[in-house]
Amino acid sequence: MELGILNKESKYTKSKLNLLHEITGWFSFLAGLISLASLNIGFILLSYLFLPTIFYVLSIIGIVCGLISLFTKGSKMNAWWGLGLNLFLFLFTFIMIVVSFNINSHP
Amino acid sequence: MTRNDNDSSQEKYSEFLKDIKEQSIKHIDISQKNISKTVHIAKYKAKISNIMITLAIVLLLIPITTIFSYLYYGINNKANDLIKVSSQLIYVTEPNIALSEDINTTIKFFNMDEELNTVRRVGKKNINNESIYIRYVLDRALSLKRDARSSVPLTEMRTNHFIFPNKPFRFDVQKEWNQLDKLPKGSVAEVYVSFNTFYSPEDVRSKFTNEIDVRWLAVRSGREDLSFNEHSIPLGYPLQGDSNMYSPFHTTYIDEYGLEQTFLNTVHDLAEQQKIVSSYPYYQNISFVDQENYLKSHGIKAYGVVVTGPVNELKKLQNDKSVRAIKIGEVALWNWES
Repeated sequence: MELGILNKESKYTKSKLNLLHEITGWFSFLAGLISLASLNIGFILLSYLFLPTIFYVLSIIGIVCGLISLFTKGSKMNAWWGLGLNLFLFLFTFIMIVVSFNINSHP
Repeated sequence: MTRNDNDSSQEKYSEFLKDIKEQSIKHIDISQKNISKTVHIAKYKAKISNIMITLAIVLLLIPITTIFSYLYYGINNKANDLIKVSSQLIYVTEPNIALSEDINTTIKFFNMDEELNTVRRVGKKNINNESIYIRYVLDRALSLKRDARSSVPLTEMRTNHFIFPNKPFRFDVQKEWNQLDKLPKGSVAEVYVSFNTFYSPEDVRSKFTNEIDVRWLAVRSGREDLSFNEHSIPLGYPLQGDSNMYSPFHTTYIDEYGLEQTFLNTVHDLAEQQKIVSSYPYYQNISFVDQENYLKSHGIKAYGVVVTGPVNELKKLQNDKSVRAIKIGEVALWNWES
């Protein structure tokens, strides 16, 4: 009987972990996509190279969710995509800042 | 064991078998339902995943090409070289023109837009001249657009107003003197002065009183003997320093090298960037390499100058025997004391 209860509990924890893995993975990917779409819109319509702060916050949450999803059991595809896109946004911003300082930088 | 007992136990056994069969059928039904549900969800997830991956790849295209474009223009100072060439060309080929404000640049997909605003000096004030928009594709100027910001038409702005010493007149010089004569006393004007022969920069400076600002010196570059008309682009340099950070004649350079050497350095820089220079409209046939060689072997010899000052003072130029022709440029209300 005790074994049965233990089994039930572990099954319950397992399904909870699975759900966490699913949600964080999808959220990370979605956060990366939304931020990337915002970057595209800003660049095409307004020639802005940088995102509004809210999207950087979203990207940080996306990175955290991606890491959580990466270290839980299950398919890691969404986590990798999410991490990749969100980290790319920060890499893009960093490169733009460094290179822009080198172009037409007169006091 | 009686026959009846045997029958009842057989009946029970067959009932038991029937129950098991029914239960197993039910179980199979449930698991089949679960499987089809799971497959359906998996299919749905795979579809969404595919859509999201495609979207991500499409959305990555612009940022990645932007990074490469910025790296192209940022590495090896490509963008700064283009900006430098355009500002140097303005100072050494456009008489009495200087840069105003900042130079704006926008980098797009392997092309760069540059916007420059220029001013000309009339009396003691700078007045708006034109806005120049240059589009570069990689490191070649693809198009150049000019918007006049003053009352002078663009065609007039692009005309060479100097007369070379041994070349015939292209306009009625007497008409220009008459026009200068009729200008009101309380006005200032910009005048293109052409000499009858060649003078050194020092000689030109000594010709004019303090009441006249000597702005730009037109210098012999060796091209004039081949062709010199209203479409020819003159070579020369401003006779004073500039405070604009983009100016090749910034006061810090003038203090360090002097005016003449700064001019020679600028021509040398343009000769080194001849490929870029040749990509600009109007400049395809101008070789700064040849011009630099000519200046090195013959020195700086001036055949004209742009001056500005009170009309009364400018009228006195008529008595100067070395002045062969004049052409009036912009005229403004009195601002000589401001």
